[in-house]
Order: sequence, then structure tokens, then C-alpha cells
Amino acid sequence: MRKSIKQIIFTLVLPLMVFTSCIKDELPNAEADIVDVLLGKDVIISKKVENERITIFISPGAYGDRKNITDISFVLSEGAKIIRGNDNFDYSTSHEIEVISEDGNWKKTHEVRILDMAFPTEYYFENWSENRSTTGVYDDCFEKLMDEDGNVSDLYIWASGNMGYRITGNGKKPSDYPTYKTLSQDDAHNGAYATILETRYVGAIGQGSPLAAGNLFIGEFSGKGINIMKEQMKATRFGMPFNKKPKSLKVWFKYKSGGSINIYNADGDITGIRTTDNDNSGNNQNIENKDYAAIYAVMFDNVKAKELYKGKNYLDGKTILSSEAEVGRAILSDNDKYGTPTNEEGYPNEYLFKELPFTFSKQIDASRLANYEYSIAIVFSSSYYGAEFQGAPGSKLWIDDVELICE
Amino acid sequence: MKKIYIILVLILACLTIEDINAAKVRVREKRIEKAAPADRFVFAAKAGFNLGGTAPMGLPAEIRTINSFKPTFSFTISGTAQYNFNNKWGLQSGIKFDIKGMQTDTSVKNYQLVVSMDGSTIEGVFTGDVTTKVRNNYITIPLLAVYDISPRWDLKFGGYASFMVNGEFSGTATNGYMRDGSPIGPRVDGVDAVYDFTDDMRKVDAGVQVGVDFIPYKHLLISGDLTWGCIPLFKSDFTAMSFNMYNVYFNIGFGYVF
Repeated sequence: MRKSIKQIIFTLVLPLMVFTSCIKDELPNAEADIVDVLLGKDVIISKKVENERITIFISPGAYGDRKNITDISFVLSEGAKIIRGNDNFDYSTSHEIEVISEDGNWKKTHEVRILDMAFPTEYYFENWSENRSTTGVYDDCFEKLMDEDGNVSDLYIWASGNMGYRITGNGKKPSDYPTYKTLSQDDAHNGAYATILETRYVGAIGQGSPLAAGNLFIGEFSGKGINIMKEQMKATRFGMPFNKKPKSLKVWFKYKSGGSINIYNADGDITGIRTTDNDNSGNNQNIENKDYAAIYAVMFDNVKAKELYKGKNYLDGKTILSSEAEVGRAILSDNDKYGTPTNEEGYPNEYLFKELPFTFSKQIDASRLANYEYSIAIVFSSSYYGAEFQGAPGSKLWIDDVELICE
Repeated sequence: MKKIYIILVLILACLTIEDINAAKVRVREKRIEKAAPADRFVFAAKAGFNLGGTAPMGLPAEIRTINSFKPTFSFTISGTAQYNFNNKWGLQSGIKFDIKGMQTDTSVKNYQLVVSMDGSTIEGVFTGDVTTKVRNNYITIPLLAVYDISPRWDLKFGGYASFMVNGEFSGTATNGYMRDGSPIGPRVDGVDAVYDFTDDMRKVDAGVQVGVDFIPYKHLLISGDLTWGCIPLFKSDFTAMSFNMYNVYFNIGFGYVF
């Protein structure tokens, strides 16, 4: 009998033993990021740390010709190591740093650029690169900047929401994304390419956006510290430090509205049409509640922004047109924002030119301006209320040959 | 755990009345020896519950802590038929309506996962909290050799085959971040996502089974069976999780012997 009791207890205890099997030792980290880049001198004006690309603007001349920046240091993912690029300190051109994860299974090459602060004011959208990951590929546009020594650097000052769209898995090829380059030269105003912004329907949803408006702006699109799917308005970090007072924004564009400004619910169904307009342009007579293009530039006090937004020296999708830190803006507000001339098939075939004057609401302090305490954000979007997930799928904006005229 | 204590107490209570019924059982034994072949069949109807987990064999290192484990109430109903070859050996089979379920809450690091976040499917590696809810309904057919170790105790061993009627394998990934595609992909913070792998589960399961039957009275049967699945829960082309999972459950049943 005793034996039997033992047996039954054993049978009962056995499965418990199975499930209390030990927690294994923590695996070494698999990440291979450059989390941050630090310089010995306090000369950084702006820093853009992306997944595989890092752009740092420093006070011009602070490191001479930038061929020997030895006091640079990198903050890496836990346990990660640099395996390439740390043996020379020439940052006069793009510098590749390869990082291997602690577990040795993952390697990532980062392009690190340390540039004397200089900001181009003419944008022709001729330079494009492919941003590739295992989950998709999209177009990134960049500017080329030549320094005094004749070194040409690729300058990634433009950002778009394409990274967020890639995560949704909807983009199969670059032209499926909300922001992409023109597919034929005929579609550009000048040169080989123009940029196209197109509002996309993403689909049924939990709490995120059923709509992805095409956008292109000066700044950074970042998921750091936020839920990029839910808080897209916070992912758009508008503006970069600028030391000139702008007078106007010149732009060539064409636009086709996708229809009325749809309001979506979380299931991706249209629940209504937006009938109120508050673009602060003074022109609130929205024709048939039609979706329209956003083309504007905002100058703001980045020191004040930092005070207002807990250390963030930029504006985001919520604050870009309503911030106390703003000092001036130029915005497209006439009826051309609803659409430009089309051919017989309804295709916009003609670029329109606009010169949008800046109006200033606050005085600009010349010494602070020289000290990069103001930032400029140029913003284009195929749906004006895209950041609020309102708009019409199919709204399409072409932008080419933009120039920021400064005093 | 409470349930296990209750069962243990019940079993012990039954053991104490062993002597009173010993005589009757001995009668049964004799009857089997002399019985005609038709009388060598013993039929029983049982109700019970499963306690256990649908789990990887050995916790993968991606799982850092188990915050909670809840064996959900998973009842079973079965009918068994046993054929006794002699007074020591028999063969048992039957049919069982079998629910296998559990809920877990774990903290994970670099856990390969495909989640649906705000309508979008994201495939990558997740670090944060993962909850899992499993509730699968099977029709199970066991086939067991039965060895009579004492008048009241039978030892059983063999195997089983299960066919899924319907099921659910789903959960959430929260309080963490996801790297899109791989550990070096773009980082998505503040993840609040759900996953549902219900359609990726196999419709069949089979495995080994060992157990005991205890007959305290002439008609009362108490059984305990460990079933250990040998077929991975998910189809072979399933890649949304990096490890195989198996059904490992302990069944406690109470039955009537006809």
C-alpha cells in the first residue's frame, strides 16, 4: 500500500517539476546600436541619431578640417563592440562604424557624419537613397553639401513618415510608400526627380491611424520613447537650428485632392467629413470640405521650445502650427492648395510656382539667431490634417525646386 | 495549487476506507479470474479536469521571468472501456472530450514574435511583458496498457491521439519595445500589441500517457494521468515564435465503473 501512495504522489509531483524548470541565464544582448555619439568639446549644434545613420552638426571650424576628431566616443547597445571604423578619426567625410552585438550574431554598419553647421537653402530633390531593412525598402531624399575644402557630404535633413509605414508592412516597393521620388522625369519640374507625397489608406486598426499622409519635412522621424503606431504626431520632430532670417519660401508644386476630408474611427471606417477648418490662415472657406495640401515653413525659438516641451527643442505634429515658441511662418493658403490644373484625364500636369512670404509674430534677436537659437521647419504634406488621421486616400502632392529666401 | 491539495485530501480520505472495502474488491478479483470473455470488459464514465501547460520543453533563455501562471479550469469528460486479459494485465481505451488551457504572464527579452499592433502586423523581436492564453478543445483517444499492482490500484501506460475541435492561442505584448524585423531593425517603443496564433496550431496532437486508476468502492474510480504531447503545437512552417511548444497536462478524473 505504501508503495502505491508513493507512486501516486510521484505522478502528481512530476508535472510540477516539469513546469518549474529553471529560468536560464540571460542571453547576451543581440542589439548593435550606436545609441549616442559624444564629443569632447561642447560644440554640437544638432544631432540626429537614426537606426543606421548619424548626423551631427558642430560649430563651424571647432574641429578644424575634421580629419582628426580623437575625442569622439560612442554609446553602444549593452555589451556591443565596434569592430570597424574606430581606428581612424577622419570625419571630414562620411565615416562608417560597424558594431557587433554582444552575442556576436548581429552586425550593423552606421554612417556617421560630423559636419560643420551649414544649412542649404535650395532643395532640388535630385538625391535619393534606398532605405532598406528586412521588412521593406523606401526612398530617402538627401541634400549634398560642399564644405570649404571641397568635400561633399550627404546631408539627411529631410525626414518622412516612411519608417512608420514600413512597420505596418503595407509597402512592397518604394512607390507604395506615402513619400517617394517621381517615377519618370516628365513628372518632375526640373532635373531627374521631384518628390511625391501621397495619402495612403492603411486599413482597419486598433488605436493607430487608418491613414498615412505623405509628408516631407526638415527634422527627424523617430519612434524613440513613443509608440510610433499610436502617437505618430509625436514621431515627427520638426525643425533644425538655423542662423538666417527667412523672407520667403519659394516652391514649385502640383496637387490633386483625393476628395473630402474623411474622418475615420479606429476600425478604419469613415465616420464623417471634416467641415471645420482651422489652419489659422485666415482663409477658412474650405471648398466642399476638400482635402488639401500643406506647404509651409515655421521659424521657432528652439530654446523656448526646450522650456515648453520638457527638454525637446523641436516642435511635433501637435505643436507645429500652434506653439508659443513660433516666431514666424510662411504658408500656402490660397485656393491652389485644393488642386492645380489638370489634363483631360484629370492628372495634374502643370507645376505652379508660389512664393510664400514669411510673417513674423515675434522679434528675432540677431545675436541669438547667430547662435543657432532659432530653428526652421519646412513642411509638406498631401493631407493638411493628415497628422490627425483625417484626409482623403489618393491625395497627391508633387514638390520640386524649393528655395528658402533669407535676408 | 489549491485544487491539488483538495485532490490529495480526497485521495487520502479514500485510502482510509480501504480496509472496509477490501473484502468486496477481493470478490471482484475472483470474479475476473472465473469470468467468461464478455465479462472481462470493464466500462467507466469519468469527469475531471486538466492541469498543466502548453509550454516549451525547458524554458528558452528569451523568457526571463514568469510573473504568473494560471491553470485555467479545463474540464474533461470521458468514457473508457477496459479489457482484462488476466488478473494482472489489461488494455484500456475510450474517448475523451479534453480541454487543455492555461494563462501565463512572462517577461521576455529578444523574444521573436509577430504581433498585430493597431491593425498592422509587425514581425520582429520583442523585449517586455508577454501574456499567453491557451484554450484548446480536443477529442482524445487514449490507448493504455493496464497493470494491476494491487486490488485497488491499476498502473496505466501508453499513448494518446488528440484531434482539435477548436482552440485559441493568443495573447498580448506590452510594456516594452520591438525591433522591426531583427535585433538591429528600427526600434518601436511603447508597444501595446496583441497576437493570435490560433490558426497556426496543428489540428492533431499525440503523445505518451502514464497514470493510475484507484477504485476505492466497487463503482467509484479516481484516476490521475500525465499526458505529454510529442507533436509540436504549431505547424512546421510557423516561424512567429522561435521555439516549439508541447501540451503537458495532468488529468484528475472521477468516474463511475459500470
